[in-house]
Amino acid sequence: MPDNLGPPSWNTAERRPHQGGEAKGYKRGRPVTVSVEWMADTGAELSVVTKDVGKRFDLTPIGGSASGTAGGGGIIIKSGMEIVFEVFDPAGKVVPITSSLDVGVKPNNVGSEILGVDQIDYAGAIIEWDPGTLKGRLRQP
Amino acid sequence: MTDEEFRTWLSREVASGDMSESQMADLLWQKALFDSEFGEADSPARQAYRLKIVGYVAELRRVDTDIHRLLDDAKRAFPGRMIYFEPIGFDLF
Repeated sequence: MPDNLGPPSWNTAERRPHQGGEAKGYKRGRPVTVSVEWMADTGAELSVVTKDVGKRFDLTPIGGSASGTAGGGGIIIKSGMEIVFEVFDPAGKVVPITSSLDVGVKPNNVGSEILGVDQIDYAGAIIEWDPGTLKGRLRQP
Repeated sequence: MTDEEFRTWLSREVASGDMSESQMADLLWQKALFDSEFGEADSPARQAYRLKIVGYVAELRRVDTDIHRLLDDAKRAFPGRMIYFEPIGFDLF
């Protein structure tokens, strides 16, 4: 089966799995699509974007927390963004996934755009990743 | 993130038009309710709700182990209201 995870384009030596995808939504009534390199993070219960990615869309805040992250930072939860990524089906065919699960928005631009286990579960997928070869895949079993 | 840092962040959200004044006030009020019960690191409430996600929405405590279930429940029960939440004894990401 081919791979759909790899290192990020900005650091080909990084050992964490990334995948190119998109964030979609609206800004002032017009559709907006932003290219995003999602970091597949099995340590994240929900997906999170940086402040600047969040600012590209008109989103609806629904809640927040001053705590809850490993770094002690806060999060605002917003709806109105679609997360787009891909998985392989059991035959190895690409399946595009578009999810409208609520996302967290960071207070800053530190760190990656995070594709959490919520999205992986939504896609009915599992993650396989080899940090030695920097190859892996999100796939439906 | 301290309470002051959280308030400053929300104020910036309001200033940029990404959150309304009433949403900020609602979220801070729900946070105050959370802090009154869970504010101290060794509070009995933290022991009782360990490994749960505790939220406050519309002045009511909501508890779940799944963040999306907690959010969906809050939106369904109290549309338009803000939920303040924290995971107790673990991190969400």
